[in-house]
Amino acid sequence: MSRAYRISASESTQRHVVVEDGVCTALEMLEVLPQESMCELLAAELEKRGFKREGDTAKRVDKDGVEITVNLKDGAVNVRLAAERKIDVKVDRSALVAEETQDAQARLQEETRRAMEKQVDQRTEKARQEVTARLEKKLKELQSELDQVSNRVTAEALKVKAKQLGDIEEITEDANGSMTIKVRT
Amino acid sequence: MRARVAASEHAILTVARAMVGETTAEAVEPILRASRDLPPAMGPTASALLRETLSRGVVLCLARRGGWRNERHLAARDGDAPGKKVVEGRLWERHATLPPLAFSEATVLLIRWMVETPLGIPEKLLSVGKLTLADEVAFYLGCDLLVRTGFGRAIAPAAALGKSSLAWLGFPEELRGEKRAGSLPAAMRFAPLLAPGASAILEALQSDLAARWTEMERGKRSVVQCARMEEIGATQSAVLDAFLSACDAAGRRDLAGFVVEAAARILPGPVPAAMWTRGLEKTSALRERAAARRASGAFLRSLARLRAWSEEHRTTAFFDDGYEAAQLLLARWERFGDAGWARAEAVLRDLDSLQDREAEGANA
Repeated sequence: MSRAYRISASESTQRHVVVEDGVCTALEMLEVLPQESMCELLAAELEKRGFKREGDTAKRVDKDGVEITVNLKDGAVNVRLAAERKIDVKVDRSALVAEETQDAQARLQEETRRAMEKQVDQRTEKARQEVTARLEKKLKELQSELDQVSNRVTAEALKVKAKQLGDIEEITEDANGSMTIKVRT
Repeated sequence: MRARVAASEHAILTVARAMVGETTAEAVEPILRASRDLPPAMGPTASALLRETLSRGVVLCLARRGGWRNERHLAARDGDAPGKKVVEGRLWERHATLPPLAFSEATVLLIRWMVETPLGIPEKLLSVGKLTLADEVAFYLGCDLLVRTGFGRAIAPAAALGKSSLAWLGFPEELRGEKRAGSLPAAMRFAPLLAPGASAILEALQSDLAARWTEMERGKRSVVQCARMEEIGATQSAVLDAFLSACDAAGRRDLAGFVVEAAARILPGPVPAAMWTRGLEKTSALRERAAARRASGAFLRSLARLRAWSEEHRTTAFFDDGYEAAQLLLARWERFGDAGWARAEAVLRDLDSLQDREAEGANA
């Protein structure tokens, strides 16, 4: 009668992973004034909203960890969220074999190691999906804020331009964001 | 009079007939699906029949696909300034002489490849030399047949189909296939197709090309993988950039008419941006989805150049040389018009924005 042998293998790991996600967009701004002036107006508006200027960029990190970076020269916006996760995985496998050989043990060990790596990948991906979901929730309010920034900067630029054309008699702005500037030339 | 040919030759002739529209795509689907060992050469009867099928069939095919239409186009030849005068009529009325169509061995190799390779699992490579104008048409019709019979996936692995500029113009997403973009091939040089004489082919295929690009755009809603969408977008951008530049250089902006026609079909009214991105996998990273969404707007982005041309045509004065041509193009593109350009921009704004409104709606 043939015998069957039970062999077993175990693999475990502890990993520290960083998962992140992000998107890029651009502020829609009319070039009412030369680029340098538009750049300064943009920097000023962003500073009012908690951004810190670092050379040609302005950066803000919100309480939820979302990092927003704006390039003052071209209006490119980069939004990023990263998170760290500690992943602990342990996988045990056993198998019945006809002969208890080193080869059989090595194969089982390799299979166990692959299963462990697969679980690590799955948990990393799950962590990444959580980061993506958090970032997506943030984007709606962020888009609205960026639209306001574009509008404010354009409005300020128009006021500066109007001053260059003549004496400003009156400026009216309504709740919808439209602005009328009367200039005496 | 009946002719006798071998079974393998009959298969070759049937595929050739299907390419030129003398038999249905359904009739050749079993031939394309099966694999077959072909003898190295055809007999004289079959060769003569193949010559006749291709020479008459391609001409008839071009006539049927659009050459029969009574249209107005920019003149191919006008002394030193092509593209200034307007000519009207059917294809053979607009062109005093049409270019001779001489098929090379490349066309025969293409048809043989389609017959002997089981196109459901296209492992066999197709290798050809330089293409003539007639070969360009044959390769275009070959790609068309493969797409209509459901074997579009066989196009990219064939490699040699990528030598045809006309095939790139009609089937860019199939030619690129699933492969990641490297630099795009030299075959995307459209100037030879826009030369006087050769441009008659593009005139005949305007309707075809409009239908193809419409289908391509609508097909984007079924694209699942973000990387694939980026690939399609990059290929479309490269093809349209090269083609529109060639049209401009050759003074044949009228031959870009199919782009506007396709845009008019895709955007008959306001269309949500989700039409392009609905199928993208929702679990992929936001970065990948954002890049895919931007890439999906490649065709619409190319309309900006046509819009700029349209603005230029509007400012062409009646005493300018190109006034007649400008008026022709304005009239032809009027169907799309300012409202159309605005609709395209609205979709692009949405595709470029931070938010994926489709995903947001799904998660709500």
